[in-house]
Amino acid sequence: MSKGKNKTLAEKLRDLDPRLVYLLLFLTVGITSMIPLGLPMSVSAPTRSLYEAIEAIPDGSVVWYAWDISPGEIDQSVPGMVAMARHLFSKPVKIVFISISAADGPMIYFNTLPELKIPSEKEYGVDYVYMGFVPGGELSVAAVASDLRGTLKTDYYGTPIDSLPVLEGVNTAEDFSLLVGRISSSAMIDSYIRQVTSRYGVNLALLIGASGYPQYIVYYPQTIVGILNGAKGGAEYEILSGFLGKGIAGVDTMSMAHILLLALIVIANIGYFGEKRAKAKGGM
Amino acid sequence: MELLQVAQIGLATLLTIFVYSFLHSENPTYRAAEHLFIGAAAGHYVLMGIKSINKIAVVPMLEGNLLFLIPIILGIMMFSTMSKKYSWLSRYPIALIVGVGAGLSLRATPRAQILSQIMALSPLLAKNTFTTLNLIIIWIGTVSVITYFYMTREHSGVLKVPTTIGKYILLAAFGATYGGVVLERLAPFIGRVKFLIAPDTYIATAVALVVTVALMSYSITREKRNKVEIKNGVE
Repeated sequence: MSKGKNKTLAEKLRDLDPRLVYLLLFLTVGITSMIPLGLPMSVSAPTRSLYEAIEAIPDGSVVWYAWDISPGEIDQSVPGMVAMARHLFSKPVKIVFISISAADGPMIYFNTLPELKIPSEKEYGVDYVYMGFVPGGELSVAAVASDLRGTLKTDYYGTPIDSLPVLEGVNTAEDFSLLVGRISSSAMIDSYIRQVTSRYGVNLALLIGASGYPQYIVYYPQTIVGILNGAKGGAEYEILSGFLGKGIAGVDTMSMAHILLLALIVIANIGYFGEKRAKAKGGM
Repeated sequence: MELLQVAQIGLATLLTIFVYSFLHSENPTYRAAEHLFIGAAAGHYVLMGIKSINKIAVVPMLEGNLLFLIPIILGIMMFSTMSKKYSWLSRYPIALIVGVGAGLSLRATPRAQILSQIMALSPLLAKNTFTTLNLIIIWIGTVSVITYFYMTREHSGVLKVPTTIGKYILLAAFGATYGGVVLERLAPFIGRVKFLIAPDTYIATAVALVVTVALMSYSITREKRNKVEIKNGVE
């Protein structure tokens, strides 16, 4: 093995300080954040299907908006969630926000409220409501789906459910025309599929984190009628719906960061195969 | 800008820089941020738990519905795991949770996640050639991956080809998942960098950087001095 000044390229690549990668990533993200590139972006079929599913909701119907998000997913998920919510608020439908098994749901809901830019003609309790955090995982999903009034006796503010016009006539999941939103854990997505979609036939349209997208794209389009793929999906939805926000602003940065990572993977592989070849030749 | 807002931004930038100081080395500023985060998260979850129990069980019980006493008692029994002598008490509520959870999920799993997925793969249902081709590839992939996990026979002879295909399908699937994880992990990082360099926060970022570097330098110097003193003491 060569040492010091006689290091081969492969060895230099192998011994590169990993903190250089972080520095390059920081510089890439910082520079592209300040200088937008306007890179082109196409809209995927699952995103378009979700948009069409929301467009097809009959006037006056009630939508279940699952606000099950944790703080680590804010940057990835909130832009898409805001775009979906603003799209729903632009239609004459009622929205019921519920956070099942996401204890941080209420905190993130209230932090995000200003971004929702709820139209002034929409009245809380009449056009939309927030039911708050409901603990219990799949048991709660099943309970809410089978007997909403028995499970959720009040909204987040303590108003009795019977005095909320938005929930008039809503007793089970069957009374919702669509279940939309963000469900942060894979186990909970499975719970919603089992307890809501499969049992009551309610269409499911979700924003899914990028790591879970390969797992749940198999359910599209039969079980999950539309899927947003993390931050990119949120940006696509902003383009489709016209409600532009933080999602589209971050796409250039994401693209350049990914190009950097691809370049680093190629360089690392050059180093790896170079070292292997050198060892085989007996040069090290 | 209001004083509270300035304090919030200042604290957020300081803690963000404290956390990223880990990239240099593990240091007291990183540990401080980590402990603060854990403490705040724990406090938040305890509060949400207490509010939930109060809303769901305590209030209805105080209104006269004494049936809610049962889940409250079962919940208290869960805490018996902290006692060696009485930890057996926790088995009852755990058994109930596991039993009800398993029953609920098993009831719907065959239809929702097995039968409907198999039915969705039928090439007869495809609307066009590409979709049919896609379905055939999924069929081949599914069968070959399942064959790969057939471990009671050696993967040779008639099993060699399907298991090899299965192996490469699995590699592709893991690669796709890894790519998704990278995408997912980049998003919060991009969010943090945008926050740090935003027009409202870049001054706070600069101050936080100076403070963090100063604290880290002090900590590293003190550590080196302690090591020298210990070494001199040993000699």
